[in-house]
Amino acid sequence: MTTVNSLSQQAVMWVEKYRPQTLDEVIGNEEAKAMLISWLKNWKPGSKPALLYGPPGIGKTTLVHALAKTFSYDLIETNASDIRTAEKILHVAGHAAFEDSLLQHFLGFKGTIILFDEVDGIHGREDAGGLEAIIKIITQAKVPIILTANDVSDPKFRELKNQCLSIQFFRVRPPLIMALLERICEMENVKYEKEALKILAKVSGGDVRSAINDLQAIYERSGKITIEDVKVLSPRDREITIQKALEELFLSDDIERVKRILNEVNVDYEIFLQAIHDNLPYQYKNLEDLASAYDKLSMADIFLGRMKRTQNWSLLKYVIEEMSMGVNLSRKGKYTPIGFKFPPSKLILMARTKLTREVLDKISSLIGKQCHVSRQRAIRDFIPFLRVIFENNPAEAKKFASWFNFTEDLSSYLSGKSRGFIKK
Amino acid sequence: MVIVVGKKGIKLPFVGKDKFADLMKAGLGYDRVTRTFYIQSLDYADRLKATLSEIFKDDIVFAQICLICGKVFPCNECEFFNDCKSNDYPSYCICKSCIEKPKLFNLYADKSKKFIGYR
Amino acid sequence: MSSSYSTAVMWVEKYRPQTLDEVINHEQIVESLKGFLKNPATMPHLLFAGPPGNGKTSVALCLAKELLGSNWRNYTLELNASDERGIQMVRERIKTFARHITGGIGGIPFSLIILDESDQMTAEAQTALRRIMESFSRTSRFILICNYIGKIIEPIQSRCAIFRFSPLKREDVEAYLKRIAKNEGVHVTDTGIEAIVDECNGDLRRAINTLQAASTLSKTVDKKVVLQVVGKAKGEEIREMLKKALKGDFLGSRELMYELMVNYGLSGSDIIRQLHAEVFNLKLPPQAQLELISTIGEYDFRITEGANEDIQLSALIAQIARLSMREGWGKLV
Repeated sequence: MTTVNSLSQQAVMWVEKYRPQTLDEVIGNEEAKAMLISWLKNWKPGSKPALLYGPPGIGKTTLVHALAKTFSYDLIETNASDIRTAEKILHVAGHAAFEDSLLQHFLGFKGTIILFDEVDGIHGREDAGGLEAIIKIITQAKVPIILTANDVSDPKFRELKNQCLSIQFFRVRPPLIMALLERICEMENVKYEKEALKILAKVSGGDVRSAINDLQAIYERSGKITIEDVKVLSPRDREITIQKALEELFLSDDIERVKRILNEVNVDYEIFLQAIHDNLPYQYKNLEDLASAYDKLSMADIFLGRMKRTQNWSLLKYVIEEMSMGVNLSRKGKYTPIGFKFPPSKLILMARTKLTREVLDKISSLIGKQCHVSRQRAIRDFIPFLRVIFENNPAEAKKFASWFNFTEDLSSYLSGKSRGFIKK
Repeated sequence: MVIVVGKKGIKLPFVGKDKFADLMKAGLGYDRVTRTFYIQSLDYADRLKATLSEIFKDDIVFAQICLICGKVFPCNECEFFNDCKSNDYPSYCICKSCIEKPKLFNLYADKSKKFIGYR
Repeated sequence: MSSSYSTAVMWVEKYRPQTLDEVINHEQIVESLKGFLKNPATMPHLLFAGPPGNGKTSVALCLAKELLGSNWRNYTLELNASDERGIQMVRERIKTFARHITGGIGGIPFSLIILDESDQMTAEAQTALRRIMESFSRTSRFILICNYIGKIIEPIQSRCAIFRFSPLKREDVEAYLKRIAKNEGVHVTDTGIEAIVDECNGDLRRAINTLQAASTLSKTVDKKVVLQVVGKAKGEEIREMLKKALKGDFLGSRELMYELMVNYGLSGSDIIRQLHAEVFNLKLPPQAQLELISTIGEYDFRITEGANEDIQLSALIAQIARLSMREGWGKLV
C-alpha cells in the first residue's frame, strides 16, 4: 500500500502511513514470523500451506504483504468479505495455482503466493462449499499458500488444520506497541510523554491498529501526547464503541443485550471493569442505585481476584455477569446518558504519580532495611513521624537523612517541598 | 518458582503414561534425541501450566527472553503485567530496563531482523 | 543497653534489646527459647503471634544472634510477606539464600529464615510456603511472625512451636518510654507519656516513634505536643474521607481515597483499618457506629478477596453513603 500523497497531511491515516513494509517493521510474534519465513524459504511443491491464526488487529495480513514484498513474491489475495463461492475462488486463484508462472520467473519474481484471508469468516450455505474448495486448492496448488484466521478452534476446521502448517499468533505485547507509538511520534515530530504512550499501549489490548488510531485521534485533538491529553479518548470505530457499550450497560432495559455487551466491544474486561467503576457515580447519581451497583461491582472484583489467584478461568463468566447484568439491574431510577471517561482514571493517575510512588518505595525500602520492617509498615509506622520531623526540624532531619541514606529527592518528599499531590 | 523456558530443553521428572498423554494433549512435545520436552503449541497454555504445576508440585512461571539484551525474566516483573493480553506464556519481549532505552523501535527492528532470519 | 546499636538515629533501633535477657515482658517465651539455645538441634520451626510492635521481631533477632554467633547476619534471611510480590518471589529469595549457605558447618546449627507478616499471605500462598518449609528444613529453620494466628493455616501451625506474645502492659510501655527519654535527655511530662500510650494501642514501635518525633518539636514533651504529633502523623484525610462519605459526597470521598493510596502509599487494608478507628472519633449514636463497623468489617474481608482495592474501597464508601442517607447521620458529623 502506498501513501496517498495528493491529500493533505491531515487526511492521511497513520495506520496506513506506518503500515509495515518490511518484515522487521512488523512488531510482535517473533517466533511465528521466524517460522513463516523459514517455511517460505524452504517451500517446494508438495509443502503444506501455512495457516496463521490468532486475534484480529495484530498484523497477520500485514505480515503476509510484507513477506511477499520482501521476498519478491506476487500476492493474490482473497478475503472473507469478498469472493466466497467455490467457483469464484477457483477462478481467481485457479490460474496461478495450477499453472507455472514462467513469465513471472522471467521477470524476476520468484512466483506467486495465494493468501486466503480470514478463512473462518466462511459460513456454511452462502459460501457453497467454500471451505471444501479451499482445501481442494491448497492440496493441489503448485504455489505457496497462506491462510489467515481468527479462531480455528471449531471442529469444522479440523480437516483444514491437518492439511496446514499451523502458526499461532498472539496479541502484541504492550512494550512493543509503546515502542511503535514512540517511533511514530518521532517521525511525525509530535511532542510526547513516554508515560502517556504506555497508557495507550496498556489500553490497546494488544491491538496495534487501535493503538495507532488512538494516538492519531489524540494528536488531532491536542497537538501533542501528554498524560493529560490521553485522559479522554474520542470514540473509536470498533464493532461497538466504548461509549455505546457503557451507555447500554448502565441504561439499557434489554437484559439480554447487556449480557452480551462485553462480547461485542473490543475492550479487555479488566479495563472495562475499571471504566465502569470510574463512571458509575457520574451515571447513577442516586445513592441507592450507586450503592447497589457498587455491591455488584465489588462481587465482580472478588470473582476476578479468586480467578487470578486460583487460575480457575471458569469464574470469568461470573465476573462478567456481575459487572454487566449485576450493575444494570441495580438501577431503579431514571437517568439520561452522560459522556463517559475513557481510559480509566486509574491508569492516568498511576502514570502521573509514578514519581511519587517511586519515591515512597525508595524511602520505605531504606527504612525497612535499617529498622527490620516491611515497606508497608514503614509507610504506616515510620514515614508519618519522619514527615513531622522533616517538616518542622530540618537540622534534626539531616541526621535521619544521613543515617537512612536518603538522597535529596527523598528528603524533599518528607519535608513536603515536593510531594506532587493530585490537585483537589 | 520453576522457570520453564519456552521451546526446548525442558527436563521433567519421570511421568507415567497418563500424565505423558496429558502433556502431549496440552501442547508439549518430546525430543527423543535430547530426551527433553519442548513446547509445541500454546493452544492450551493454561492446561499446560496446570499439568506442569502438578508434576513439579510447584508453581510455574514461563520465562520471557528480552529481545534486546537477552535477559531472561518472568512476566510478573513487568509494569504492563496486568494489562498485557498475552502475558505469561513463554516468548520474546522487552525487559523493564530496555523499555526505557531511547530509539527503542530501532533497537527492536535490528534484533528482530537477526532473529527471524531476514536476509 | 549494649553499645552495638548506640549510633542508631532511630530510637526504635537504638534501644532494641540485643540479647534475650534484655527483653522485657514475655519471660516465659524467653525461658523456652533459651532451652533451644542449649540444644539447637531440637529447635523446630517457630511461629510468633501477637499484636504489632510488642517485641516479636526483637526476640527473633536476639535468638538469631545467640544461636548463630557474631556472623549471624550471614546466616539469617529476613523477609516480609508484603514486600515480596507473591509466594514465588519468596521462594526464589529463599532458594538463592540457601544456595550460598550450608547449615551445620562450623558450629552453625542451621540458617534462619525470618518471615514477617505471614498472616498477610493468602491460604494458597501459605500452602506453597509449607512446601518450601519442608524442602528446606534440613538446613534451615523458619521463624514465622504474624499478628493473627487464626489466619495461619493449620498445616503450618502444626509444624511450628507456637509462641503467643501477649500485649504489652501499660506500665511496661511507660517505663520503656521513660527510660529512653532519660537517656536522650528529653523532658517528658506524665500527661505526655499518658497521651503517647493512649494513642499507640500497645504498639511500642509507634510509641517510641511518637516520642522521638515529639522531641524534635519541643524541648518539653507534654500532652499538647504529643497530640500535635499524632494529629499531624495521622492526617486529616481519613477523617475527611469518612465525613464526606457520611454526608453523601461520594466523589469527594473517593478522591481522598485515591490521594491516600497514591500520595501517602497507604494500602486498602490500611485505610480500612484507620476508617474503623475513626468511627469512634465521630459523634454518632452507638447504633450507627455499630452498623458502620459491621459494614467496614465486611469490606475488610472483601478487600482481601478482590483484585482491585480501589473498587472495593469505593464500594464501601457507597455503602456508607447510602446507610448514612437512609438514617440521617449526615447532619450529625
